[in-house]
Amino acid sequence: MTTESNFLEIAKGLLQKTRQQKAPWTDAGGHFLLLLKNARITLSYQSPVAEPDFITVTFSNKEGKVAATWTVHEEDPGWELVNELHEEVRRRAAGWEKVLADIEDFIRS
Amino acid sequence: MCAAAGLSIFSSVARELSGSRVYGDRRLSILTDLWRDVVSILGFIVTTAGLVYAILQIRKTKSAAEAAEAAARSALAESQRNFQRYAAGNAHRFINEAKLHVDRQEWEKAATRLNDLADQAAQLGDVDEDWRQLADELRTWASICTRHAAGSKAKFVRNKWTTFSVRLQAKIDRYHGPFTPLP
Repeated sequence: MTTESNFLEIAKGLLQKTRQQKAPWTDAGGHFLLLLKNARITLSYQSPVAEPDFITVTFSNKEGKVAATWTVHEEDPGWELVNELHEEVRRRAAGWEKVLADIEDFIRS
Repeated sequence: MCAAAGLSIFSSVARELSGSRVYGDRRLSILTDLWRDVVSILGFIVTTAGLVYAILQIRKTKSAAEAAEAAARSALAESQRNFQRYAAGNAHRFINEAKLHVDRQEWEKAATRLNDLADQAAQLGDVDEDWRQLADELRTWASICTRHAAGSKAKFVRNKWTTFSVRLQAKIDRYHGPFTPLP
């Protein structure tokens, strides 16, 4: 049984790997996807009109069958960590490093 | 004798068919050729004048019909504007009440007022698509308030409510007021 603390540890690990540029996240249209050898992880951010925002992390096997889902709402205990992970993934998937390097080159020139 | 009578009848019929009546050697005619020409020309002039008059009358009628149509359109537009102001006036009152009820956490009253607001927004949706979107969002907020009235422990997202109510208030203000030019 996967507990909340397991999920938090996983999120911490994913955040670290993402920052080290060792997690090749891709933008799959509405969510981000990380393909591993025997698993896939998706990360999606939802913002309902009149309810708190939430992020869903889905863990599936390599065929796409969902093994576990973790949903964290705004102001839940793990929100800051998962939101930080989502922001990091979003930046990486959008090629933030290249954008930043280009801006810095422009400023220096 | 019989042959002579038959010839006379034949002559009468032939004269009738030729369109003129001759009594003895004189051809009977009311007008002379000159007056017949005069009458023909006068007839032509009167006919032409009648045609011109008819054309002018038709044009007048057409422009009157167009003016009546323009007036009807203008009256309809004014009526729509008046209705929009009326609906916006109601919405202005309802949003203030809804905000007050939400602040006091009187969820049932808030839900009622938000549904009233949604009704007004839906009425305005015919003239502005934004109102339809707002009506949908109002129904969502009303359902959230209903859930809270039923004892839901879910958190009421106050920052989203504030953002939404400010956006709605700004939209209402664009329609509210007797001299506000409507979009």
